[in-house]
Amino acid sequence: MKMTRWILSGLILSFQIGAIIYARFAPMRYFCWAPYDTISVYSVDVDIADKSLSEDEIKQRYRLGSYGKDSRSIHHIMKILEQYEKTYGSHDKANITLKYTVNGKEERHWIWVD
Amino acid sequence: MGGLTTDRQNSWNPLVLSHTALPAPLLLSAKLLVLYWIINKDFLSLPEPFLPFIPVFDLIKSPYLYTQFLQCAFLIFAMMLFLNRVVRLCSFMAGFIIFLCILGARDYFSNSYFFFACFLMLIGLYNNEKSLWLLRAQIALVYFGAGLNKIFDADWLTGQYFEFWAREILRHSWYISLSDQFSPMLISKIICWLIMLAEGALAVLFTFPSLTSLAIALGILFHTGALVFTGAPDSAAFLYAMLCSYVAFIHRPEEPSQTQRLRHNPILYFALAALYLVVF
Repeated sequence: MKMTRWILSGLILSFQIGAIIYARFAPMRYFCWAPYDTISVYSVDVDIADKSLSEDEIKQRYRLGSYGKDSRSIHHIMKILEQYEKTYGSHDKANITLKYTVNGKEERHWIWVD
Repeated sequence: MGGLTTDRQNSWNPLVLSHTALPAPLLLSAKLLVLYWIINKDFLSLPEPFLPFIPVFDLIKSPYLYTQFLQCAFLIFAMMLFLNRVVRLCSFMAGFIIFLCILGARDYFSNSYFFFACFLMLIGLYNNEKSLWLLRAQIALVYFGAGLNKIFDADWLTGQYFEFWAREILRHSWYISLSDQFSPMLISKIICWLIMLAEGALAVLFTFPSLTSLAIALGILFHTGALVFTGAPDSAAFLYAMLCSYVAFIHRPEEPSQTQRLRHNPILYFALAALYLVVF
């Protein structure tokens, strides 16, 4: 039992070390201790069958505000949108435009077309 | 150290911390961490699986029942922990439930919740004195990861991040007037580097037991400063979680004198921390 505890403890710490290393090669910042590393200001527009979703519909669909600011990597928001469209919403053929700025720099667009 | 005996002879009184499988400081730390979830009712907002990190969560037939089960389980483990029953298992399971919820819902991820989960699980996996090294490693990893992320970020090296945050988002008038006295981004650059330096120092200090007091003092200063500056709920949760984790390293003598007994009285810490929680 003691050995199991040591192994599990080692796994918990190793998982985080792995996440810290992984973050050096990927834009997302999950499990790698990056609180308040970037400030993103963003807005999301979603069209499904030529109809724009309202703020409430976007909130309900992605559990994400249609605009706002986020203190973590903007890629977390992209990942939420992308994962939703690849799974739960794959039949909807949504078109998404994410407009964002990171740390007050130039505005950029991220587009998802299904 | 409160004894590493079984839970057979321990007290049902939540304010008594001795005679369990955990040393008193670790048990206190675990109780304080769990207390946050109970008092804030955060355990009631444990989410249903949604865009999980691992697809297996999407296979759950009834997400509602699954979440209700986790919430009930969390409450039961929390109560058992407060009443000094199978404390290691309860601490581990409370942390594991939080971790499961993070894995099951991508939008639920937050660094403070993840820290709650990791620290509770590690306390639950306590074996002996050597296990304290794992807890030290956990705290050091937090600061190391935070510092490393920043040092590879150009916006932190130039001060761009802080300049935008303080001037455009938080609109701190004192910062704006101070910064305008100097060349552009000089103050923000200095603050960014000080933050990175503090995180690096904390990562190192926590790995040396003899420097724990200094590490805790710097940590309290650092997190309190972050909370005062941002005023963000995330910072409050993170400050609370880190303070609770520091409690694990409080040294308690085997035979305390009257004065030491008062100074090292866990109940005192418990009351102070609870008071702090209520206040913020």
